[in-house]
Amino acid sequence: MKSSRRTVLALALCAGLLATGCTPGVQSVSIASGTATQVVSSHVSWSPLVKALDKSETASMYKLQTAVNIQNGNLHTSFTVYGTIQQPNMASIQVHENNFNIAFYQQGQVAYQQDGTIWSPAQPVSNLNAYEGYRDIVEYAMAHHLPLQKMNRTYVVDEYCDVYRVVVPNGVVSLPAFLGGAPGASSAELATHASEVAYVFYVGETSGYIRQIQTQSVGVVDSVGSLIMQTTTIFQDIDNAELAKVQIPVSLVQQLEQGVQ
Amino acid sequence: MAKSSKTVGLWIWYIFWALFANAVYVWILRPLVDDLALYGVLAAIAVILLWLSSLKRPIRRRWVIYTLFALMVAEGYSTLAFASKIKQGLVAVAMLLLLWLMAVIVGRVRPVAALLGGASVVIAQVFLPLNDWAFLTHFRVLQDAQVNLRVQNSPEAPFAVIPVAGGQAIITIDSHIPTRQELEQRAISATDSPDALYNVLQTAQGEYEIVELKSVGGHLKKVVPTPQDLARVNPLDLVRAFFPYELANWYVDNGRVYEYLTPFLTDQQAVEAALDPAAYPASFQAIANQASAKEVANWDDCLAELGVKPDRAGVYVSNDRLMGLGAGRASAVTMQAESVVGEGHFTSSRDDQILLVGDNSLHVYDVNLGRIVASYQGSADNPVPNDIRIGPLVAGGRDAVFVNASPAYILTVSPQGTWRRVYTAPSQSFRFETVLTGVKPYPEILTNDPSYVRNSPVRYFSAYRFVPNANGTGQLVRVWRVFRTNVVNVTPLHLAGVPSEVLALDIYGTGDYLVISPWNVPVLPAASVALLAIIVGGWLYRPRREGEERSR
Repeated sequence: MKSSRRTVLALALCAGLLATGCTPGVQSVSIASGTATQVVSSHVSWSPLVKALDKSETASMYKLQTAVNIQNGNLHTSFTVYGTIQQPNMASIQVHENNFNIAFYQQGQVAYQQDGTIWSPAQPVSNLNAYEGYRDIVEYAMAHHLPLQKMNRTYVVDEYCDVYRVVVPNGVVSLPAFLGGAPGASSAELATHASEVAYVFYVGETSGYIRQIQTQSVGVVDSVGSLIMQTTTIFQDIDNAELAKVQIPVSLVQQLEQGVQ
Repeated sequence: MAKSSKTVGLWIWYIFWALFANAVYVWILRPLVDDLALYGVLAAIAVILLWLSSLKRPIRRRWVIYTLFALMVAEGYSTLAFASKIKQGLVAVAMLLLLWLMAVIVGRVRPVAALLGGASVVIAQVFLPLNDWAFLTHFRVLQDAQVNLRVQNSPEAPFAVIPVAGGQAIITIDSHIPTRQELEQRAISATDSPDALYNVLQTAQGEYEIVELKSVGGHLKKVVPTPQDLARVNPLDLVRAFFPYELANWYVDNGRVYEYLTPFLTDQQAVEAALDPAAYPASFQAIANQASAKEVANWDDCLAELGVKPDRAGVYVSNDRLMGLGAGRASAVTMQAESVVGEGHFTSSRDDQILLVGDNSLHVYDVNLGRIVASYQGSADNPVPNDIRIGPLVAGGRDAVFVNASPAYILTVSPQGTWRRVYTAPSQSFRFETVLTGVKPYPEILTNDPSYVRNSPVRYFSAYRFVPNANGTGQLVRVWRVFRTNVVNVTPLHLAGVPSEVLALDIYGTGDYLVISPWNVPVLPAASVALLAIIVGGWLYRPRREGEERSR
């Protein structure tokens, strides 16, 4: 009697769980990086940010992780980058453009790109300093007396950061060489056909480096309308010779050993 | 005679129960859990225990096993949605027989009746997949069909709505795999650029054909679009899923338009762009501009090859000019706006007005007055995207603007042209889909939004009505919720041969599309009452002998 009751109860529970599709859920992975949400002071001095930028530009190696997200209607498309950079001329990165994947490796004058599984020779990239472009923004904003806001202190990757925010017109950063002179890429056109860009800089309180930069802007494209664009750039293991050292990809070594250029 | 009619009655009861158990699962039990988290799990268990308590001991095992059998057959078959027809058929038969055998042996269910019940669940799903039964609580499903997509680059069928005689039609894409001869022919004639041969062969297995979903007797049928219909399409409506990183390349072959995708940037360019994160906002703006220009030019080339000129439907913006206002008015007005959201009555309930989206801004253009009567400027923090819906908040009211930013919000414009944010969504993933105006007594604001109780971002297709507060803002009160996720591209459509407005929608990640029309049949209350009646009936029923059937 007793055991059959238990059977019924167990059956009921199983039926309940089954019928409701109740299975153990999967926790979504969260990147160990925060986002500042409030402005705590609307006008602060530029010197801590400039100091952090000076220090960051001299960093000799780091891991770089970035994402560009574009909202177009109900759809989001993304461009993400993950890699290791060692100044002045070594890099190993992976780029995901929606569903195309590219890998790139450079040491000095040697450069290879990988499409699918095959490596092929490529042009080396002349400037590998991912921090340098931010100087254009800071210099423009200071020259035009744009206000620098301070936001709430935020934890990024492995340390607390002081957070600064500035809004500048689109197009004040010099573009990658291949876009220079392309139609729709002049700073005047960008300024009139795109919103201003809010740059948020996260300066590590312990390390003194810029650890994360987020941007928010709206691009305006003919026949498409406005696209909300959000980007996140995270720097990790800065000057950590153990973790941020560029290494030759194994698949490239194997391919070259077989004599396939 | 009496015996055979009793057998038939029994069969009908088994078939009914197989379908009804699944309906209860989709309409009542699963929604409880989806919306109310742990409380819902407890409520679902309570419902199931109530039902179990209505099963008297002699018949308990048989009916529990039969119910599980019916649920498992339905669930099993619904996971076959992506398989080919042959595989679907074979697996369905194998699964049905195996489960049936287990049910007969373990549950001692009536063999013939149970097999009929299981088969009926499978057959019902051929017409409407289990997961889409959820729509039945508030909609009539006019059609459940699909186009073939490669979901890694096109997770949903794009809908470019065009006007046709008697109503509207949809231009979309459908996967196309060329025959061997076609491919050979195309490979040998790929000579116009250094990477032409590479492009042809690399993308051969991933091509799409541009197709039209056209109303034939109220049913959308896949047809080859006429050049005139293609001329009305904004090609950028077809590329959203991968714009601007991948470029759609269109070409004409034998009067049909085909599409293949290539990365917009060369590897070298992608790497250069990637390594300059400070310039991302400007780089990708420039890349998007170029991709758009290239795609429009490519589409127009195809139209030229088909012998037609672009004849974009309705009002549109081209080169900062508003076009297509029609005869009797200036055919083009110069303005700083990039695209047309739609037409409505924003500041006046009489004048025809056009909502435009521009440089992070919204503009209301009054066709009668011939000028912009109201403008709204977004900011870097509060951006205005191109994902905007238009519709009235109250019956007969002026139109409001539903902006799908994160969080989404609703704007209204006063007759004087001042904007007011009357509602802000409580959740980042809340989005507006459309506004149903053809329903009584108030317009239904259709959304996709998550449960308020669970901390899961999963969204369900829902409807709200706007209830104004004293201070001019308001709240949204839920009217109904259809527990179907992944409902996207909800598009109001007038179809030739269908009197009322219908909704076309995509199921994200599948290529499935549905055409649904609101109805007022109280499906959910009826199912609840029926379930209650069955439970009460079970309590009252006294089986006479071990193993006897319930005789209703």
